[in-house]
Amino acid sequence: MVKSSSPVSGGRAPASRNIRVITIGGALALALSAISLVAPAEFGLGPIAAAIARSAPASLKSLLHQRSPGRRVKGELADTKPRRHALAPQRRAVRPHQRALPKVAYAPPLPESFVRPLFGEETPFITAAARPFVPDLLFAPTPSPVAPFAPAVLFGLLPEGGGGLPGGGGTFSPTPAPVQLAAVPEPDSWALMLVGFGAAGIALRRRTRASTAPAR
Amino acid sequence: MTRATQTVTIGASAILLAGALWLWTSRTSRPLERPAPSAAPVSRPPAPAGVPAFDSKERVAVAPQPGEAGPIRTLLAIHAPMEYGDFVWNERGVPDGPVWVRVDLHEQLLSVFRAGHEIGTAVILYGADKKPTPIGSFPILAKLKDHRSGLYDAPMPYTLRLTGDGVAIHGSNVRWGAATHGCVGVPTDFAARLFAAVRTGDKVTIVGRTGEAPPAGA
Repeated sequence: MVKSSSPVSGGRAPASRNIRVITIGGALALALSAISLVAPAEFGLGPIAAAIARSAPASLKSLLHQRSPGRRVKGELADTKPRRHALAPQRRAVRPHQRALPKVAYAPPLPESFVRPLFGEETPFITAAARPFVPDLLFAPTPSPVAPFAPAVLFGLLPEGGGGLPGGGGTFSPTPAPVQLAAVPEPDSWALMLVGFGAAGIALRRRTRASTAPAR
Repeated sequence: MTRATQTVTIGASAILLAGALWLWTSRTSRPLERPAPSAAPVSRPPAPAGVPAFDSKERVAVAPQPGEAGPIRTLLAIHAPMEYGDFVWNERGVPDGPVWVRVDLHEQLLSVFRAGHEIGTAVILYGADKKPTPIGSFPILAKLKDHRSGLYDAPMPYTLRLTGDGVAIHGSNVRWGAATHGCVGVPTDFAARLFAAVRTGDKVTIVGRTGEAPPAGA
């Protein structure tokens, strides 16, 4: 280690130099080890080198499993999407649309000028006994002492009236025969059906909103 | 058909239909309760004595992993289970180097590695069973800091897009019982750090299939 470069120093120099080198080297090693023990993270690769030096390598799986919150037992989709009307409010703005009008139960009142020449001034309405069948359609639903029925009832009779009512063609009993209007349900039927479909709709909606998907 | 018959028929059928639907749907719409935390499984390696659950100055060396998509040399020292919404970020002393991200659906964890050393980890959300997160390696296609999903009308901050059809890593509210539509959700603070740490083209590897059986002892 010591190269005798100075012939002047003779045989005493190598021993003292050796001692000095050992002392300095030992102090340096001590300082380094102290630094690495006290604050490994403060110096560059300290923690990494320390980790590699200190611990035996562990398996990745076990290390990850140690910190894992565990398997998922339930994964429910977040319902972040708003309803369609919230997405596109402008599409729901009022706009013209077509709609079939419901059947009317009575004809609009005809102008006087049209009615009068036909039947004369003194008899604006024909009595039930004398009136012909077809012109019923032309009559306004004004209350009349001889025909006190609701206009709807009158029209309900019409489909059957072609062949003549019981009692002879053109004659007209004040209490009409009971007629079943089977083509269109009654309003309470409609209401009940709508309630039922509403309940079905609510059930479907609840189902789509809270669709749980348990994992595994 | 008389009016009474009509009423009864229509009303009863509608009510029966509603009742049947109700019964059918009530089976699936019942929310699950989060199970109480059980005792630590036996397979969980015990934390070394006297070591805190997480020490930011500590690292753990990892045995060579031949099957992994990127180098893994050390992990952050986390000796206790993380909770939903938790994350750890520590890149102290880690040199520059290639960055890659490992997503583990089984363990619900994401790890970011730089030069083989883990610099961050978080608990994630992943795709629901009906909308599974794809498995494989994906380069980061795009980085979108303030992304808002048009498809789901939801904010997705710090989006890292992985696939062309929209699967990404993004910030979200990580909580128990939640799932995504296929994305990987991470806590938003973590997402911001991840966003800064990766570059477009860095690799993201997603492992772990939700349908497969858990490893023995787990």
